[in-house]
Amino acid sequence: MQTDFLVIGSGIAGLTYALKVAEACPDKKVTVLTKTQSDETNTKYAQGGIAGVMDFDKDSFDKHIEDTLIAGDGLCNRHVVEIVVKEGVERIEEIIEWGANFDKEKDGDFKLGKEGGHSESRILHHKDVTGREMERALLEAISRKKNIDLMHHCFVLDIITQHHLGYLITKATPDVECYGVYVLNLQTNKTEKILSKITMLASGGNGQVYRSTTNPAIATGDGVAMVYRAKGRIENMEFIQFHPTALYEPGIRGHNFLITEAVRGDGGILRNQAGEAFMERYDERKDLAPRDIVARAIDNEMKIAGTENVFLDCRHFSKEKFTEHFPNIYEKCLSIGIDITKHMIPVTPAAHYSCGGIKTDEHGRTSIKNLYAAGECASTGLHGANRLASNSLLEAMVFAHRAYIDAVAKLKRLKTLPSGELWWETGKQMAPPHPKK
Amino acid sequence: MVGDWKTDGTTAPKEMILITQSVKELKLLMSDYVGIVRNNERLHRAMKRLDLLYTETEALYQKTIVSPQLCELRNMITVAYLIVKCAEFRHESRGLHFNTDYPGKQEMIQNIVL
Repeated sequence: MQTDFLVIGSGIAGLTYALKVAEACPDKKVTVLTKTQSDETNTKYAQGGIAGVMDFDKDSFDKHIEDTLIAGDGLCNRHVVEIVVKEGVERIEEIIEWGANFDKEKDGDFKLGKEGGHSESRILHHKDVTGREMERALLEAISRKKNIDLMHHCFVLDIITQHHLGYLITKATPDVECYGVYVLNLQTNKTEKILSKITMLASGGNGQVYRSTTNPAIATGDGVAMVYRAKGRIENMEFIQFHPTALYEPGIRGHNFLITEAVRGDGGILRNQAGEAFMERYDERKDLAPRDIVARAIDNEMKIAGTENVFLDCRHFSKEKFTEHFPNIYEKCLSIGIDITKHMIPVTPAAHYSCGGIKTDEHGRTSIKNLYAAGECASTGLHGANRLASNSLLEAMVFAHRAYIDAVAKLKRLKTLPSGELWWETGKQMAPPHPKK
Repeated sequence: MVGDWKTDGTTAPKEMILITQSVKELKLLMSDYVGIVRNNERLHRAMKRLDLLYTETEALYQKTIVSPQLCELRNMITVAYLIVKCAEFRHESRGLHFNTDYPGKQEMIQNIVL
């Protein structure tokens, strides 16, 4: 199979890019591949929102840039931060035009939330399901485009480079080129070859390499691994953001249930296995200390005792007060046999976001030619050593847009694909596992 | 007589436990050794265990048909390796990376590229 624009992943980065190239080149074919259903992505689980400077009376680009740089702890690329903050506003306006709804005040202005690390209120949100709303709007817009083919249940195995034409490729090889991907079609169980002039990787995060994660079961870092195998450049993978308190449920597949930090704000107390309220040993603000300090304290207690969780004690709450503030948490705990008025809630840190990834430049280009990357799998230089809350959806849209401009211009210059049969590695045909009787 | 191979309805190797056990081991070792707070000893141990998982899984990959479970495990091992390798290269504590053997920040700002 051949296509003009190949997109891997159907989160906000992949779909934004697909929509834009399809609109700019109505005579070209756009193919979007996704591993399970098209709406099963990390984007869907983004609860917080998207940060953007909307109220220029109180807020300014400079303040948002400054907040991002402080969070990044010296490792942000200032030029990239400026690009994302300044271009982000146009991208937010675009997705509103495509039909995404954000919560509004009675007078029609957007309701702007404030999150940790932001100096002003600038988070647009749709209740606590912002990601799902944006995903819905994008999928609807995609369904109206005739030249976009959305293929679900397609597992991408590897990206095709000169290696598959029989050349030796190493890290030192200049001009490695991407010609498309090998795909395992999960409905037919056949390995297919999809050739494409330009490929976009928007394959998302990798929280599943940890026991506890807020990411869905699909977030296994496929894109990063594929690019590394193809000898592309990967950057700053050590910066994994953790949420300090997720419900500890050993052995579950998929994502862990989050116990919001507001429970501690309301008086919840962290205790170790011995029952000691340990936060007073780490910070005078005890359980209300900043997230980083709490996360490190929890981790330290677990390491010392050699356990997989600590406890959040809410036994002193009245049932009425707790169910009024946190009805979902109450129900969820009860469903696994924990009555919060009698038992402590077992909690553990959960992997949330990967700041590093496939190294890209300011146009979303990776170190492999004709291969772009955007979204969580990419490392653009925006987040640096730590991510500012609600900056990731913004980054995904800004770089999807920049990659689209670059890709459309490049398509006109590109020659056709190399002829010659591409080969699948020896012994890797879809041979059946057991003999027929 | 051994008959022909059948193609319909088969995706995974015969013993899924060879894959699922490795997934469990990988997740546990990453959470326990490469979580929020790190140190050199734990990173070193994590790398040794990843090496074993990698060797076993590559051998399995060479002789069985491809399945999403196997390929995801392979990808997760690669990603875990990249996380540990980058963490080993960073001799400082900065942002989300906190290593008790290097509690301070280095003056030189560097991105770790593999």
